[in-house]
Amino acid sequence: MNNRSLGRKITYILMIVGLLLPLYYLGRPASKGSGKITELRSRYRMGQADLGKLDPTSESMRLATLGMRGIASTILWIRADYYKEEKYFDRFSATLNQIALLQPHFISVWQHQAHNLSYNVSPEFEDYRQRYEWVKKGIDYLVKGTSYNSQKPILQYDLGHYLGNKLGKADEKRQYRDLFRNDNEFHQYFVDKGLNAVGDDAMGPDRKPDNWLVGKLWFETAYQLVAAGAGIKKSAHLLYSYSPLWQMYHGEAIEDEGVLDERARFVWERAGREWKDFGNRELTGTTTVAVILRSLDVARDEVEKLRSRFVELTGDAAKLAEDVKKQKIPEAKMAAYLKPSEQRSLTENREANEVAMLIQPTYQEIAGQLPRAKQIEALEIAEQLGAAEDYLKNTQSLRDQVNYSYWEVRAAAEQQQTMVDARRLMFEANQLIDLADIKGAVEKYEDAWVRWNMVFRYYPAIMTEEVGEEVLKSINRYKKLIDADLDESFVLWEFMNFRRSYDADYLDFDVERTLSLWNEYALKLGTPEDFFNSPMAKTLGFKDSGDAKPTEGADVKPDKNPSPQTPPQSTPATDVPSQDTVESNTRPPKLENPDAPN
Amino acid sequence: MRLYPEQFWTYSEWLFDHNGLRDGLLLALVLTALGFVIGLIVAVVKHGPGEGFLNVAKLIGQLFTVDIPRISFRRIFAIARLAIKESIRKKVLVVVGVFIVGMMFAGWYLDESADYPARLYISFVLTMTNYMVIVLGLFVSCFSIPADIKNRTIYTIVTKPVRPLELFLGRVTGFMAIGTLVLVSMGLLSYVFVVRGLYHEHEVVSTDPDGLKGETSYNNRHKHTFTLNDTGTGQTDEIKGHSHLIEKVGDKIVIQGPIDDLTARVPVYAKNLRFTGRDGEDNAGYNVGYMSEYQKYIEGDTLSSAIWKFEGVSPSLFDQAIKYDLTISAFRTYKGDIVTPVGGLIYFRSTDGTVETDRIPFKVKEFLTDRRVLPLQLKGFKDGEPADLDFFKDIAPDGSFEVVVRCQDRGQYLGMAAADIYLRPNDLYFYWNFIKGYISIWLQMFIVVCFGVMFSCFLSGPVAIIATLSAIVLGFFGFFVDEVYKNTSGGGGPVEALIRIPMQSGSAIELDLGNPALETSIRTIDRGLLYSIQLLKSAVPNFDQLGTADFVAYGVNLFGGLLGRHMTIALGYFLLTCIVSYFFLKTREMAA
Amino acid sequence: MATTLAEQPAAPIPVNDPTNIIVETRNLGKIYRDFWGRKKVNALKSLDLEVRRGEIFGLLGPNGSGKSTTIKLMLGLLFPTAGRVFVFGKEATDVAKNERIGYLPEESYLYKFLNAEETLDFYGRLFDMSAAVRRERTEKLIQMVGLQRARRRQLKEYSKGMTRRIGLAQALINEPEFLVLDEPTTGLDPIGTREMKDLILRLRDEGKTILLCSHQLADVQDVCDRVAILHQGELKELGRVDSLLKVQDVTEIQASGLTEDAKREIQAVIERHGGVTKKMDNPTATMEDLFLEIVRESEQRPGRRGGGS
Repeated sequence: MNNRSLGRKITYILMIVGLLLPLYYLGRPASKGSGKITELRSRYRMGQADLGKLDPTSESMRLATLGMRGIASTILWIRADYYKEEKYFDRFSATLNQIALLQPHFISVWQHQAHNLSYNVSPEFEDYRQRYEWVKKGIDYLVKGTSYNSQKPILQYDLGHYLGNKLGKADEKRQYRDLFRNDNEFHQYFVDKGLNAVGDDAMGPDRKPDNWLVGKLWFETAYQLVAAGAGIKKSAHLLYSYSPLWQMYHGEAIEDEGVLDERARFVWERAGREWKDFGNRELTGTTTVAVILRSLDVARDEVEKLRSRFVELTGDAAKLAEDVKKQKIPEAKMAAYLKPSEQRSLTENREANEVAMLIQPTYQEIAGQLPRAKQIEALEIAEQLGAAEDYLKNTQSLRDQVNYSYWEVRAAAEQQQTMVDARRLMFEANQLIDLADIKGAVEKYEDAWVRWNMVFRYYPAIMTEEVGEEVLKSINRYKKLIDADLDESFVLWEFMNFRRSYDADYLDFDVERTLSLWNEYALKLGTPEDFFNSPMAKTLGFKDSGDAKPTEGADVKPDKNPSPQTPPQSTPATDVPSQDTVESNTRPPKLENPDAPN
Repeated sequence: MRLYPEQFWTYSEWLFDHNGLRDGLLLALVLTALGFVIGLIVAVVKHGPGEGFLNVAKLIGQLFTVDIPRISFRRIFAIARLAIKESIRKKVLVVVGVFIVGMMFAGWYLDESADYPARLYISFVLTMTNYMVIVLGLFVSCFSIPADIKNRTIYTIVTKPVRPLELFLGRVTGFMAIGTLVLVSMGLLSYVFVVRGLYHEHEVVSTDPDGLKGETSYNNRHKHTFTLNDTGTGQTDEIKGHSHLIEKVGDKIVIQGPIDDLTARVPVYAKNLRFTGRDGEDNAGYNVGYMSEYQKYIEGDTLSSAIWKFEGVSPSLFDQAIKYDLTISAFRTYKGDIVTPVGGLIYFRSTDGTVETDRIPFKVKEFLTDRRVLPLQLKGFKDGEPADLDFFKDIAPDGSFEVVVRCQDRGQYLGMAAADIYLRPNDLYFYWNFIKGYISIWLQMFIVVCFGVMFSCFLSGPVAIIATLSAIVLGFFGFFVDEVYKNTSGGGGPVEALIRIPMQSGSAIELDLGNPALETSIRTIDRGLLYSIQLLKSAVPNFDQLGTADFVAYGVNLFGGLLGRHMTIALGYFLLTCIVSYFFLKTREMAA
Repeated sequence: MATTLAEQPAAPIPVNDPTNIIVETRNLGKIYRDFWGRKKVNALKSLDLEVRRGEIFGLLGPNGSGKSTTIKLMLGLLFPTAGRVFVFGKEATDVAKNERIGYLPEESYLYKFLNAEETLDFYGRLFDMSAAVRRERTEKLIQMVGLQRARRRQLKEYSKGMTRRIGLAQALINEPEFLVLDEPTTGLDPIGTREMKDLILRLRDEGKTILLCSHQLADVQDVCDRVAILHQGELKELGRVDSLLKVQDVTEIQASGLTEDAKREIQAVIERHGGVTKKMDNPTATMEDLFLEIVRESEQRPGRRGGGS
């Protein structure tokens, strides 16, 4: 019996040693070679010191759980859920702090609970000031997270979103933005945490920090971290779009609030510049080849050039290649393909499409049909062409994802004095309505419409999103004021038609194509300086240039009979309350629109 | 704070009207029968039917004939003194040191930006004390008897005329004495900590030209505004649950320390709350879709209303005016006017509805206490005619009246629970409420010690710890067991959860192993396991409910009735553990 | 009565008076089982013995022979698996009997953090004694066991001998009628041992009944009136010490000052009478002989020695 127990003990010891050996082998310090764990730790920056601040509170709390950190944090999560459900919000937030101390390097905790505070708890409160305080708590939570996780720019990225989106896009954005502007303690807190929220870059037009700009600063901190080698699970094209976008949202926000002068233009000017820089940036990671968004035209030209060279070189080899492929198609399917499309049945239609795809030769196959001598060169071009096409496709797709062209045009448009004026007039008109000055409002509106017309003509793309929507809203107010329906003599009639189809999202309405028609027309208008400064511009419209009218979509029916236009009059905009620093002679002339009912 | 009507029953209401006594006795009866049957089975298995039954009968007989009558307090105290000495020798007083260290670093865990720092501070110290003394009770109680058995010092004890009950009572007394000592020191430290932690001062930073209105400096993450009256005194506005008294001394304005953050309101709650629906029909109030069923909602701009019925309110409590607090919340179905809170109407009426006050409009102060005052002489309606009223003469001649709340804004909702309106005749001293909070903690420690000593009577130290700990965990997280049992928390029982972990399957989706039979059997096993855990749970004290930290933290006087109930429950567990220990000590071979 | 060997009514106390029998075991047995109920050790097999008032009864046997088990069964620290044990005519599990018993465990299992006075005071309280009585007894006992100079020292600082003495003192706190001493002399130096033996004899003279168990044969030989010898859980011998040691057909001759011639002469006388000279030497500790013989025999032939079967 003694022998048996001795044997058992020896077995245990051997097993323990057996388990320890690989651990010892893997866990040796890297200097001794084969310290796999050490190596992995430093490769993925998992060492405590790499992760971020080493905080005695957090460490002692983890120690105090005696290795039962998992259980402790699970209990705290359950508590937190309970507190949230039963609306013990003070304690909810206190519990979150404890959770964070237990799991300070668990990024999702910071993200998830910050969201909880800013987005879920805050709306529970009735007073917007309290709501603001809770949004701040979420932000505060993320800021704390950043100090524990110096290598996780995702937190800074989230902060950019919270400060921008949550404060600047909520229903109570006016109140939030106002509270934020005057929240000196909060600004100071950011400064303490290493973000210069009181620097020039953060200042809005009233020389107080603006939430969009502070958010933008957080994005830039994230970019710096990424540049220094920290990883972030975001596509480059989205990641880098936010900083300039926030600049634009900032512009939009101050304009909404009535800052409609040189200061707004300045903001947009900067936005345009930054958007351009973003467009020139090499975006890696998402696609195999780095993409530059602004190289679209070059890429397109390149494809064209290569394709024509290829066609030139291969001649009718393409036809040959297609014929070869046609041989391999079964009779029945081929028959379907050859049938005129009106006569095909559903199945046949599908088969025909299939065949069409199958018989499409690749560039390589076309090159293969050539005589040896030409083949090598053709294959080379084929390869280049394939790459160029891929690049073009990728660029186009990334541009679409960030809506690159729209914002490009928008920034350009917003820098035009005409657009600023149009906005200001509309803003003033809206204010006059509140003051019950109907006549004044109508006049201002009508001034605005003419300017909007110019802007839309020159920059058709901005009709699509918020700007168009705002104008449309004002048009509806205007309609109520004049108490009449608008007809085709209304200067923004075509815009209205466009917008109606756009909003209703008609199946047969192709935004792209319609816009490109408008754009074609816009291209003929010369440089913006020329266009917006020439008195003629005011009278320009589709109405007297019948050859380039945008006639796409059922609802877009531009007027073929231009109404008589009054000659443009040049009058300085003296009625505009001028916070404006621009000399009045740079102003576009005022124009009376006879089409508009008065 | 969540206050349920059953929490403000008086002791006698609980004992008699709500069957506390009956249920307790019933439980005792069931447990006795159960214990008897189990004991009998064990004895019969061990000694055969005849002798087994005889043994059990003898055991029970001895309990009443010798072991209870011959209990000697001198022996109990001797054992208690020994337990105290032993505990001190084991340096349990170190926990006080740990507590001090914990408080020194408390600032790290406390959220300074909280809306009510007092609540956080108080619940922090109470919770920390609570956990610490429970752990203390756990460790001192579980190791003592097993250690005696291991050192065989028990030989010299049980060969003296010491009765099993004395062994149990002595230990419990001793440990409770030492626990009380620790608890009292913690209580004193906590009190100082809370009072000092909340104390702060402000300076005046700006006043308006006539010097009567102004703003204080920004300290402790807030600032106040204030207005002085003609005599040069005043009070700041209430921020973060407190305000300051202000006095003009000469040219200087002096701001004193915070007041009102440490209170013990003595609320008078309504006997019941009922609701009416959109068309004035009775209903249970609307649910606006929250998981929590605590508050019910009424719809705005309809006949929907909430009606509280107060009974037996004594006029002597309110000699000048009726002070009452509102803690009503709002639910918006649309954003509406962002700047203005949702509004409501409140009025008081006689129980027969013939006399009512004017409608008093109010705006919801979500999650804040809206302190209001109703004058005793007021305007209203008598039989539909406008009239001047005296509150206690016309509306509540016998102290009974109703309070009606409606929501004014169309499409918005107001939410309320029975405790969301209460009369506030006067405040008690905070320190007394604080002491009552500590009595609650003491009771919890008492139960833990009883359980610990009981388990240590028949288990070895570590196993006793685990058993007691399981009881505590079950007691604290019984609600979670309920949730899992009722399957409202998702993710299934223990076995299913164990399978889900390596599968990384979220709790929201059904378990899918691709084998229905296997899944069914797993669920069946889980049902069985959960059922037994549920059974066990109902036998252990519900610590979650015994906790009264909220009362102290939220400044609500801890009702004597509630404390009495908790004491009764603790006494029940004491008796239970007493008897179980007796039988185990009596039937245990000490030298085995 | 199963004793067959040399049973002589030498005890001065009448045996048939039930009040004079302090401890009685009937067919007492104890089997230790493990957690699963499997039999591990058969520690004691059907023991029948009685301890009579006023005597010093010795339980003798090598380690693991069942002495301690017997004592623990008598004290109610263990429950028998077979048979019964009565102390003062009551079941051993009855707490009331403890009022009249004093017990010195094998290795004084006392609270090491108490001092001598506190220890005695504590045990005094367990007997529900009033403060005055406790003070008086404590004083007396400390004097008796000679711990005056160490009365305020914690027991953990005590030497082995001092620990035995304070252990004895606590066993005497209630002035018991019946004293159970488990290995009273182990770990004591010769002087200590002598003192302990004297104390035991003095206590017997005061009228106390004493049961002691020991594997120190000399102790038993010196002080015990009757002994029981256990081996492997079985009773091997039981009886008065003198009769147990008296071997009927062996004559021991002790003389001094004999010359070699005289010895030869005596040997011749013995031979003439048909005797055989087995040994003519200085006598040895005969208890040891008996003991070793029992062990040897028992290993060859289990069961009660000499009689019975």
